[in-house]
Amino acid sequence: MTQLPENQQAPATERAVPVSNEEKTRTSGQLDMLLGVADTTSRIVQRAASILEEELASGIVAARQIEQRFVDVEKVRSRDPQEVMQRFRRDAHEVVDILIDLVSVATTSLSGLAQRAITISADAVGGGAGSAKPAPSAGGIPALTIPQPIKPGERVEVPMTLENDSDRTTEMFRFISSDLINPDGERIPAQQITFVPDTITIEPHKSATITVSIVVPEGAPSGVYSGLLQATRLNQLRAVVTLQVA
Amino acid sequence: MTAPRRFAYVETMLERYKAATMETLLALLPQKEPRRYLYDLIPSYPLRSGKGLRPGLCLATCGAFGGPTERAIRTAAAIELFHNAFLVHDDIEDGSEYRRGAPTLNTAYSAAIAVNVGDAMNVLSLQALMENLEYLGPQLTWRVFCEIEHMVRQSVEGQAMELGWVHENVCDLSEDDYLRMTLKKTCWYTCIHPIRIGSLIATAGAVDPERFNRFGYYMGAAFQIQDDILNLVGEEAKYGKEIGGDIWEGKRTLMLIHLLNVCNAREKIRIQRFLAVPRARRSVNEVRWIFECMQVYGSIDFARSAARQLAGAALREFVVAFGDQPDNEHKRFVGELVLYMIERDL
Repeated sequence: MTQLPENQQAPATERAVPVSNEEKTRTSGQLDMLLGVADTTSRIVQRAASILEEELASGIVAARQIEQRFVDVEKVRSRDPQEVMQRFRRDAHEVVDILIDLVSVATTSLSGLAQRAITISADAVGGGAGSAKPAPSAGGIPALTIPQPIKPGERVEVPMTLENDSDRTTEMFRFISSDLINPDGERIPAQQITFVPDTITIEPHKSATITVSIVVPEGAPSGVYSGLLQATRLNQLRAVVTLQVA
Repeated sequence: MTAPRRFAYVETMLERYKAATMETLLALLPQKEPRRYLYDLIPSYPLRSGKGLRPGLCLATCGAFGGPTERAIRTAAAIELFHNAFLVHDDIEDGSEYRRGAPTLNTAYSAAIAVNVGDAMNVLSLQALMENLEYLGPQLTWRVFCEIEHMVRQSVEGQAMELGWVHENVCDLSEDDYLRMTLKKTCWYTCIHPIRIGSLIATAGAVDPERFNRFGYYMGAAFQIQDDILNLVGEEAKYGKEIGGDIWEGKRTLMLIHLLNVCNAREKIRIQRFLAVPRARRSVNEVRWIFECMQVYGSIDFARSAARQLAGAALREFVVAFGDQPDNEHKRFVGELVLYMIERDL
């Protein structure tokens, strides 16, 4: 507990408030007075600034969790979105209808964001090269799109959420990447793409975040580059990464 | 002090923003049953003498950044509805009997009816945000929705912090605890998000809303502290709530936290005992004694000084947040609002 200092600041009642018949003049005087107060180092303002920064930092974590929630929305929609919507609209109360509309807006405009999260299915957890695997789901390969253009020489880091919705713990795996290529055949070598943490294991019904880091080489021509990210030991855990070099 | 004379411009603009907001809000109300215990009661709180600060800030910031009021009006109405839903539920949580000079919904009807009206206000807010789709397009509608989600979440988390302190009779709180709770409970939804949203709508998402965080926080904290001061020393007729109500409720205001930190051990034990008993069993003599202690130990002056320091910091941040915009009536309103926050008497 932090003790509050007594008499930290002279009581406000001791401060003269300029009074004038002209509203503008009076307001101006009060502004000057308040700015004068703020010019003195104020502990409470400093503490407030510090607390705001802490809360904003924790908000970044929350934003990632929001991304993850959209995975579930995508799952519902991918089964047969129109059919699901129609059924809800037929049967549901107006309130539900409103919420469904909002979800529709969300999933339409944030499809790129939603696809940053990748689900590990029960089939994928089995691992080993010898086991038979079904074809990839109808949902296709998730896309990891870097939202803003990157200049040559710059680094970009993007969190990628992995969700294990199976009942089994994954084997320890890591990600590898292909070269990224653009339509002209220009390449960003695979060595420029790294992952943190290097290796990872995800427990059943848990999620984890891997940060994908891409350094665009100096002199890389502008254009849209794409490549494949592939998890070792998990046959169906892969994503297409796309970024625009400015 | 006569606020109308001193802050005529701010209050005129507030009335203008409120009139526009209310027109949109009332148009959202379904013209159908059940009216008597639901739709007829929804305008009850918004039509009372509230300042309309939150929608005002949203519309003013939109205007300051060159956007027409029409683009932000549905969001302003949504913010006002969310705010009033909070108030309805807050009055139930606190067992309050009066709000803005009239009986609370839970007093005039019942807690059950009031809860339901509050829920309906939340649903109507969603409807207002949905209607943005036609005017703002999907990307900006979604961006605004994300801002609202954060705004509401922070408010309920802040409310939970404060309710938890009262429930567990927490008495070892610091100034930092108060500042964090106020940021979460009040500032995000009273100032920071209305401003952020107004700027996003005006610029179609081109402005970085992070520039407004400090300005909104400092102004919101100054506003909340002033509100708590008025609860102790204001005029009941103007303030519209019971004077000293926060002491009766055991609310952890900056004044109470200051007092608990500077009083002697015996006094602290007496305050803790007062706070440990349910509100209905608290005595008027003890409430008076705590108020006197706050005066003796300078807790009210301490809070007043804190509000002024935060308002001063807000004025400096105003230059950062709005300085690059040309002067107009909306920008002038936002700038003068800072002073109004700490000088108002209602």
